[in-house]
Amino acid sequence: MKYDVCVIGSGAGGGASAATLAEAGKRVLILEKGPWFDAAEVLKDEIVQCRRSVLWGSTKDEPQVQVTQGSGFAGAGRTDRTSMFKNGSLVGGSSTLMSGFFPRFKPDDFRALSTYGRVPDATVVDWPLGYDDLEPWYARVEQELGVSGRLRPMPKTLTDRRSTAAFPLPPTREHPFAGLVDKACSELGLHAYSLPRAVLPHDTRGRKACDYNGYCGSYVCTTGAKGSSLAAWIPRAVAAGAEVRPRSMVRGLVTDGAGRKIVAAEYFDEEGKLQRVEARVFIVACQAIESARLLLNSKSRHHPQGLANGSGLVGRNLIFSTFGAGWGDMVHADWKDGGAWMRSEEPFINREVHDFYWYDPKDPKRRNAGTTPAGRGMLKGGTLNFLLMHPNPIAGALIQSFGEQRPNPAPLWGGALKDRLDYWFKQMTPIKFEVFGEWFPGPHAWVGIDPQTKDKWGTPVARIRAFSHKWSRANARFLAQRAMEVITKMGARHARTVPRYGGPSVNLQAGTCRFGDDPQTSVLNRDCRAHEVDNLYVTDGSFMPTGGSMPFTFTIYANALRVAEKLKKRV
Amino acid sequence: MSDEITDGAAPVEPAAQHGVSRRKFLKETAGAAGIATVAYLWFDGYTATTYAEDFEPTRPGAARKTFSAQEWNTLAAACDRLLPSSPGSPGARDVNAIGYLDAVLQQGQVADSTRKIVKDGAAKLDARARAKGAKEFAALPPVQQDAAVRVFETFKAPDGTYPGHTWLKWMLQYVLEAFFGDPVHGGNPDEIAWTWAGHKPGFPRPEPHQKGWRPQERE
Repeated sequence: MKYDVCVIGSGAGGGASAATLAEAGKRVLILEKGPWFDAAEVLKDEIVQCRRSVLWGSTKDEPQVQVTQGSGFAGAGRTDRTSMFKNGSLVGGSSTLMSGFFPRFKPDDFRALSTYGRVPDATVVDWPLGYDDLEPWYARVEQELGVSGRLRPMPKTLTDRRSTAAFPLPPTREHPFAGLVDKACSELGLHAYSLPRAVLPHDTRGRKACDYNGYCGSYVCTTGAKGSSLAAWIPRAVAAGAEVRPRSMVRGLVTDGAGRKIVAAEYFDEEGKLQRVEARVFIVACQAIESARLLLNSKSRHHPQGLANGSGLVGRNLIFSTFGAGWGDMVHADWKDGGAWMRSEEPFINREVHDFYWYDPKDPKRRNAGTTPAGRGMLKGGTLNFLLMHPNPIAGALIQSFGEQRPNPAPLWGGALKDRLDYWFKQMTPIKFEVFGEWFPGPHAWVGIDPQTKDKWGTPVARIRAFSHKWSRANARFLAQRAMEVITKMGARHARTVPRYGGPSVNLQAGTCRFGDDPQTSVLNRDCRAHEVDNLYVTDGSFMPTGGSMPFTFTIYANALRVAEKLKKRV
Repeated sequence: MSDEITDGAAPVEPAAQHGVSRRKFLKETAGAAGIATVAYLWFDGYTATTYAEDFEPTRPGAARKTFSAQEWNTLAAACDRLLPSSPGSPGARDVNAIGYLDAVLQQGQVADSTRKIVKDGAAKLDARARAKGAKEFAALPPVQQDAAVRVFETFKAPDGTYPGHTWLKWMLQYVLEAFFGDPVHGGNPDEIAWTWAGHKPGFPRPEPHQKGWRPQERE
């Protein structure tokens, strides 16, 4: 057999485990459905990178189906074709397009049920592992990937429990708004948390420093400063002998006669020809929705409901971060010096507020402010993140035309639009916030297989229901209000939210193959191996039963290294 | 809890075939939202537009790719009203937005329905002009042109949708691409719009000779 390990998907979970295994001398093959771009040559061009399907795959070739009304079970409910949930079809996956916000989950994120209690109509459970099981791997990712940040003196419950004294790299340069966030938080009795970033402030680890040109999230990083799988893990895997096959779309996994072992992956190559590759171990890491789709499509006599799906839980408990965002106007003329300093070139603010990571909804003064512990009666809340608007001008102009909430739902045009653009681009600098709210898993969000729609290779596509729990929505609203208070205190005018929030952050996907100790209530065991298949591992975000109220990539990296370490001993 | 937040559903597409109800409009704009650090505005079918290497906006007077002569004249005048020029402040006519629109509608997988929506809009504008006694939309004075365009804001179909909003959105989407896109795509000549807005582009950027560039794949 030519390969020890076949990794399907080259993003956060696939890249990190492939690098670890290849460096341990294992023969690794990575299959990736998207192309392999030379990052240094992916130019900063909004139309090509953000407004065409170059980095995603097109809706026509690779549709997904979303249930937009009703339950969606057994065809009940309205559906539409969508591209919403695709965010990176290229070597490096969606990590290539991330912003690199790298806070750690908090200890109570690993035991949400026992800490906060049951949530009605939701399937909140504890993880089979605790924070201390993952902590060494967070530390290792910080070191190997190069995470930049600074530790500030903070009250106890706002301080991360760490085995290392400091971040391996100092923080990136920061926009002057960072100081204003600090001051506003202090005045409001909040604590400004210094946000670690997967961004290199200087040349190191064989990669170039950030060039601070601001085209970071949604763009391929040309210097390699952003710690994507493409920049950080794939080159290490390749240097250690791993083989990457781009434009290779896996359609199914084939098991042996007993159904206990995968013997081969079947994939369509660049020419559309069906190929078959054998390996001793298979790692699935296609992002939560597509990983579930692959397992559900891999039916056999022993796995009639899909591979490793005896529990019926593959695709269930889809989670996201609950989304909220908004901004306010830092009007240049409001400041004595005409606000010239706001045009400072640093693209990063690097500030978050974790004071509402948990709070008492009846008395929000009781919250994670340093002394009040998480516990019963508290709602699992989330994170406020402060940042600059993305510099893309077409998107900025479209937001002014039809993205901003206003009484008249018609798009803005003509002289009114011109005036608005003049204001937006020339007279002020928006201060933006994003909310990463807890997502309560449950029957409202899942992945299945659409009975009708197929992709261009003829494989049935994912059918997605992504409604949020009512507590998630109320929570997003609460968090957005707190963030608006902060930016108003900073001096922003017209603090406002985007028109609809409280739904999924579609680029932050997890769940669908939750891990646990009981094969009846989980898909994977605590090593992220399928309960029912001896050589099937899942290392993207699918393993998470609950998501923590922050972006997932750091935790996916840490877990993938943990799983790969176990696998090293096996193959 | 606001009544508008009735579910967590993300935007749907393609709405273009159906017109756009208020509910859908909200969903679409929420889509702008549904991405952390949003860099793009989700709008029906935009990712359905694939990238064409031979893309080149139609120069005035050259062979048209999508529109009849009449449609070209009408939509050129409409672009002028959607993003007007004034002294020191460039607009649609300064970036050849009509030529961009004529060419972009031939790209990749732009749906037939989208081309139809845009062209039907031209016919509606001309019909409104004739109702005012003019020969065509382009012959109306600007104030009356604005009034004819404004009908798209409020016209409500019997099923409660606002089909005119879809026309406005497709038009604005491509007019603003011509305006604020990298000049390598044939709009925004000499970075006229970026200069006006004080916008700093990212780098590395495509060089003028890299017309039709796309990311290089590794061997």
